[in-house]
Amino acid sequence: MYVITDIRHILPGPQAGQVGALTDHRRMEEAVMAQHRAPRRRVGIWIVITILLAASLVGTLWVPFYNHLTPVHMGFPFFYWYQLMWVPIVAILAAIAYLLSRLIERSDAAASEEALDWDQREAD
Amino acid sequence: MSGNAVAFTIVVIMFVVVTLVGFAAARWRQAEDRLHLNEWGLGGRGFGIFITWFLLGGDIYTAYTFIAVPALVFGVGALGFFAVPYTIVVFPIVFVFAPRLWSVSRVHNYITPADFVRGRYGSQGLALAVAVTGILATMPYIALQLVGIQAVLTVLGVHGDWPLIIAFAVLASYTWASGLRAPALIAFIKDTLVYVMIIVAIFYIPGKLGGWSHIFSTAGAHLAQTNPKTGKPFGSLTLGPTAVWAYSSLALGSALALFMYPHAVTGVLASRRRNAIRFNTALLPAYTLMLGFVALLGYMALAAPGVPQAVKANGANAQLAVPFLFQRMFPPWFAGIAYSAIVIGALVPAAIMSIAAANLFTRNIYKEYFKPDATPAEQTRVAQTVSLLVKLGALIFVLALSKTFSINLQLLGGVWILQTFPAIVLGLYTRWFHRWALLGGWALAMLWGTIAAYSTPVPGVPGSHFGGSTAPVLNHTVYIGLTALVVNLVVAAALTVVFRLAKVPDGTDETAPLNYHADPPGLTRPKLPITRMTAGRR
Repeated sequence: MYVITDIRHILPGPQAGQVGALTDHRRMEEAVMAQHRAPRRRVGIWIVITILLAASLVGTLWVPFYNHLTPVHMGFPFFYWYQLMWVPIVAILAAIAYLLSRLIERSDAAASEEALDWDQREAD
Repeated sequence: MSGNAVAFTIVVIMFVVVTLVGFAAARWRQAEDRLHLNEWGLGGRGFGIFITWFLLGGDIYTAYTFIAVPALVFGVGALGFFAVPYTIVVFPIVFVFAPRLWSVSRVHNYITPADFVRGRYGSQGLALAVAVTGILATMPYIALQLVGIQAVLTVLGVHGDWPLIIAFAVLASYTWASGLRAPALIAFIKDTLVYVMIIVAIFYIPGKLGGWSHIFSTAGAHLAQTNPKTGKPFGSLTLGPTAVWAYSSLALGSALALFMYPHAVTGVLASRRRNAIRFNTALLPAYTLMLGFVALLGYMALAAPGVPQAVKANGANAQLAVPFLFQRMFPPWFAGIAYSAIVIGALVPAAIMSIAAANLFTRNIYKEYFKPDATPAEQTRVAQTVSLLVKLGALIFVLALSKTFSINLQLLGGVWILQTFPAIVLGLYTRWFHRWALLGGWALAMLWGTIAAYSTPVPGVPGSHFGGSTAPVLNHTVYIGLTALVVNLVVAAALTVVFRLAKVPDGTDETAPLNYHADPPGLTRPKLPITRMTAGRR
């Protein structure tokens, strides 16, 4: 058993003109328009995510940034506390990137279409 | 009772507890069809965010963390700290590609990375290459776990191979009985022990040794001494000019390699939801912080009176640095707890790794080439047997390779597993590469990497082999795995152009672009999606 969740599967029914179907139709139009807007927003969000993640790569892999002993902090030479400091930073960056990626996926109608395929596979 | 006897007794008690839990795990979250490989090998694909966190942490933080990394820091200084940037950059990398792998694997019911490669490229040969590489590369990684257990036993004064053999027999039997559920459940105990050990170690030991400043300065003085074998200083607190590229290439290469290992892929695929993986990349750095401080145990060992001498007296085996440090610093009962953390921290990943390698063999070699019509129950039986054989293979690596720095075992595995990166990760994004070009790139890179690793001598022992994992390229010392990956990519790209021009048939791709974003509900408790559209219509 499966409930259709993808807007593209819904065709105007025989009772077009009745209140419910009209609402459906309007909803469909809204959703279709949202899909046109979606790609641009998606790309924008993905660029932000990429920058967040790339920052942690550059910050930790570019050795000249931190290959010295001073300034010392709480007894730790710079080389050590700088890299340890990146650990909470990368956790925060990843958390922000996660929340952003949720924004994309929530507006993603494609996922539910996949669920349809998958459920049929299960039923076979 | 002497101190060692107290510590040993505690290790034995903890080991018995863990064993009982391991066997009991078979009943945990039990499914209807226990003999299905999905069940034994992926725990029913039903693990949520919390268990996924424990499972991935258990995969990643192993004897590598507790023994190998501090041993390298103890031996050469700053270079050993590369494990910190490694375990930082691995998470952004996982964030990007792992959800795609999870989705496509869920849609097509892939259990191993080789399953995906076969479906994506329609190539049995490429899938076989990925499977064989996975099994091969897992063995030295398991070997590293054995070396870690051995280090603890040596310091406890337990000599001979029998304790190791007992530990492994027990491990093998509950792995046999419970599959992935055993290590997933034991991971709770392991991580609790490990966190207790780390927190006590980083607050208690520096106080006893006169503070962090003193630890760093004493360690720096030790490292500046001349190594009689090479005629150069042992190392230093920062990186020398030749070590800079080694450092970042080891970090990046290890990070790219980690989630190519079959066991790490298992951890990803066993997750119930796509989102659990990304969410976890924000939580897993907690383990990295721990790893950073554990690495510094190497310096504490250099600064602790008597520890460098004790290591030297035992054949200069740097792997003994942390166990000796605990012996000198902790009261015997707590040393026992800490040793238990190390031993269990080696057993859990060893179990997960051997299960993953066994899945690979069963799905992609046995079922593909020996018995295509094998029933799920037969497959599980074969997987159980192979998980045993893989552990025996690991023993060969323990016996055959130099143990100067056990981290080289993991890095050697990395050299190999990294060569499956183009087929798996690039394959998640593009079908541009020709399947046989990927196979060609893989073959040449495997050969190149193995020869380069073979011809690297142990420092100070000319003519020896497999002594290190970095080699000079263009005046810089670089991780062999990464240079081999470059060879791999260049060859694969060039051959792709050639094969396309020659119109060599490229296999069929059974995946669809949308499969890579799919987020189907879990297998065990499917939920009906209720959305704005459907809510009003029912």
